[in-house]
Amino acid sequence: MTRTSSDQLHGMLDLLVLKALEEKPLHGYAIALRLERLSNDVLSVEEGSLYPALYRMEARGWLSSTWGVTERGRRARFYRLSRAGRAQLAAETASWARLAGAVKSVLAG
Amino acid sequence: MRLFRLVRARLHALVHRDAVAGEIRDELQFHVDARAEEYERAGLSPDAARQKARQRVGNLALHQDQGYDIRGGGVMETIWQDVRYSFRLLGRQRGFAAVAILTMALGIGASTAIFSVIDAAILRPLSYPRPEKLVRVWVEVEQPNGRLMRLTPSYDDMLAFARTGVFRAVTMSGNVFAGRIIDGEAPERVTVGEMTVDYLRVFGAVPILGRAFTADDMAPSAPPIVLLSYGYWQIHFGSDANAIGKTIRFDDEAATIIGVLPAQFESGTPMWRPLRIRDPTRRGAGRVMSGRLTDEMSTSDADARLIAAVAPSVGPDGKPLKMAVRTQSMVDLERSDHVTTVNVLAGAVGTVLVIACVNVAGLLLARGATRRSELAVRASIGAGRARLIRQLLTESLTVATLGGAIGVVVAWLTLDALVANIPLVLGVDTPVTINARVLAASLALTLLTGVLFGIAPALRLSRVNLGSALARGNRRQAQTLSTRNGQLLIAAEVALAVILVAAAGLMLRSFTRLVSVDLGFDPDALVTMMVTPIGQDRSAHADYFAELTRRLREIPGMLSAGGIDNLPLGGSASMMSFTIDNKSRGVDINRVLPGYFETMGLAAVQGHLPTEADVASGHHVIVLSEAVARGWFPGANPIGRQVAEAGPGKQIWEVAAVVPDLRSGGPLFEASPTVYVPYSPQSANEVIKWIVMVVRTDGREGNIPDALRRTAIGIGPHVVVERLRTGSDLLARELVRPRQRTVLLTLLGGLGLLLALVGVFGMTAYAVARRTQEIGVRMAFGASSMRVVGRIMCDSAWPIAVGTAVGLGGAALATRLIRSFLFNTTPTDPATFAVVAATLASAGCLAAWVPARRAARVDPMTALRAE
Repeated sequence: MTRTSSDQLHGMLDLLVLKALEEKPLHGYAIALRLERLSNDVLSVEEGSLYPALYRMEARGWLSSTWGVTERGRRARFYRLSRAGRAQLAAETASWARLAGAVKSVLAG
Repeated sequence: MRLFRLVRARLHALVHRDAVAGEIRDELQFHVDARAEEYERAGLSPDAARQKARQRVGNLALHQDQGYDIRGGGVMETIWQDVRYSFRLLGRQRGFAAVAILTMALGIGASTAIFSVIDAAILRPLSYPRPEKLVRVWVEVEQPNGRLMRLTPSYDDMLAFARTGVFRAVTMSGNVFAGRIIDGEAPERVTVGEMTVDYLRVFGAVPILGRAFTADDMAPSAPPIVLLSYGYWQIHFGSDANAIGKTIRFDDEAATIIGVLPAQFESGTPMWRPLRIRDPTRRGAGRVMSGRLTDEMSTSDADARLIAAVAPSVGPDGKPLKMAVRTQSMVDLERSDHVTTVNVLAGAVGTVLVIACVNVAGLLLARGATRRSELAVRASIGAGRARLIRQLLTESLTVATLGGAIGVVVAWLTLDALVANIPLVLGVDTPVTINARVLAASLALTLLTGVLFGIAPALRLSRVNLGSALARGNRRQAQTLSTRNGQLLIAAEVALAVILVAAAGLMLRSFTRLVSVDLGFDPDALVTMMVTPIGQDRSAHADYFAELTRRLREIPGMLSAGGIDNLPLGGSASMMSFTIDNKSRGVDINRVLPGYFETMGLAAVQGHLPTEADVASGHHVIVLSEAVARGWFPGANPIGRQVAEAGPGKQIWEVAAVVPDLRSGGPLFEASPTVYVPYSPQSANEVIKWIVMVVRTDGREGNIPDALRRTAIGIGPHVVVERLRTGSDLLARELVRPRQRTVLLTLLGGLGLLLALVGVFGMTAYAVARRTQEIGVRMAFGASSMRVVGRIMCDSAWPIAVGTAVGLGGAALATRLIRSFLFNTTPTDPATFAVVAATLASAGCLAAWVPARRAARVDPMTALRAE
């Protein structure tokens, strides 16, 4: 099991978090878990990056948050994608795909 | 909306710091717990799972702080930090802080005070509800010369106007200049207003007690009634509700009190009577017509609709005369009285404020030299340029706010003194106060000036070149204010100060000329009082005044005593026409009691002044002023000539003497041609209502006014004694507005001068500090201290000279504003401008010389080591 360093992850974090929230609202821990699962444990999110990213995106209006209760009955803060957040997700996905394609074709040489 | 949410979140974060931090802690704690549970499920022991989870999450406290910064506490927190830092900085640089804060305090304090006056004079000139709908109405009728003359509408005009639907209500009110005598234990004269029925409806007031006038009260045969002002009721009836129904005795009738008006409603008029119309068709009868327009009506629409309703006027030849109706907003009318003075004051105080800002900006820039390395350190540990600008602006705003707060307090403390010197006639019901609007304006001004004087230094100082600033963070490289920019600031300040001082200088020169005008008499040693006997008996009056004159002369210290009906500088005059060579000539006519000429110091230029015996013997003699003598009998001897009164009386008078001209209207007006008629019961063809007694004293005795009053009251019939004044007061009243204007503009000019000099001093001192090393080198190589001082002075003298020249140009334009305030003085009076230029240049050079002299005392060795 190899892990990507958090530096590489940093730029993509916003995109990944937005993607993780695309389906339904989640709390911070669930976002971390989901990112790990979706990436087959390649991506491991550090808490020290995740929460500042959440707060930052909330301040930008991409996310909104409320206190809610988990399936296990514990109080947790849930984040939900806003309309602006969805637009941001679409834009970043597109630009990422462009970049990834470009990198791929360069590597394919 | 978004901004609102953000601000709310930030304020919430600041106020509820613990709550926000708590939320973040709870959230992270949940994360750690959930992670631990996962490890536990994977087979770890609870303790081990928790420890591993915690390790993975890392430093909780750090995350918490970061989260807090992002979640909005951050910005407010750093602003608060910057404010606290600014205070520490100011505490460390007390001299700078004191000068900067006091400068702003003066600027903002003066602005606040003047704005409170503007607020009263321009923003709320009338204290009535919805004053913007109130108008004055005139009709304009063509005169024989073809011009339109503005007249008050007749009563019938008003009724016709009322039917047009233009107005909600209309009213006519009377001007009563002389007032009426209220008889009683201590008789007094009061101003009695006259109003038609709807006056209170127009001006939006309801009596707080009793009732208003009704249509029945307006009938000429209706019993006399009065409405009292709140103030009069309070003072004379002790706010007793039983005052309604009581009677007040006027000199000719007893009127029943029917109501009391609200406080602050026309408190300048103690009581009101119904205005009874004798001739409803007469226009321009010393009255005013006021109306309240309906909500949708504008003054121009009203003019067009009213002209259709006005009764046409016909000239003597039967042709209809051109006519117009004019309505004018009362608010505008009131404002137009104040507009010049307010513009001048606002301009002057604005200039003072700009000088203050330039001053503080210069100080900030100069001080910036010592901040360079500190700012570089801040930049090197990650503060961006925006962050540095924010910090620097916070500092300047802190200075502005402290200055503003002190300024507002000072303005509040000195407001009464200021109002006493405001050259405006403000309504008694719109007092000058520092109200919420004034405070809001001061706050806005404070923030504005804070940014204004802070922005240039902030932009400049925040441009940190990291490498050089850190490596060579010493004083020599740390020039934040170039010589050129410093000189620019000096020139700007001097130029602005020149404008202010020139305006002040012109006012002073004009005022000096005003007070040195020869009035034809010296008012200083005079004491005057106006005496009005109650009752109509003519011979009783004559006896009374003869006795009064006799007794006044017996008062110790009295040199002479006399009397006249219209005292010079008293503000009133009577006209009479004489027929000279078959032409009617109008002149001022004064009735005098024996002793008047001696008391005023008027000696006969020709002929002999009539004696008391002449008057008593029934001789009809008159005394002419020189102007009359010249006009009536050019080149001839007027003594002994006979002149006839114009009109049906045709009394023949013989000229007994000629006396010098007096400027009876005060120094602002030329002497008017005057005829003096000795007063005697036989010669008086009309009842004289009052006499102003004039006495001349040797100046040694104590309370002359009090002695005069007791003498006048002690003789016999009821008299009203008013206007007890010493002669210097008399003249002072004439000069009150010019004096106020002069005092105020001189104060503001002085303030501007002071601030500009502080600025010149500061800039030069900074230049000296900055060039200590250079000076040291020069002196080490043998430059004399004279040369060193000369060089420094030269750097400041140039901008002072340029500033003075530019300022004179500006002054030539700006002083046109005060043209109408100047007496015998042109707005570009060369002598005044020369003195102002010389004053500014020499004072500026002095302000530069003080710090420059310090440069010469530099010890070359210390200076060279100063690095």
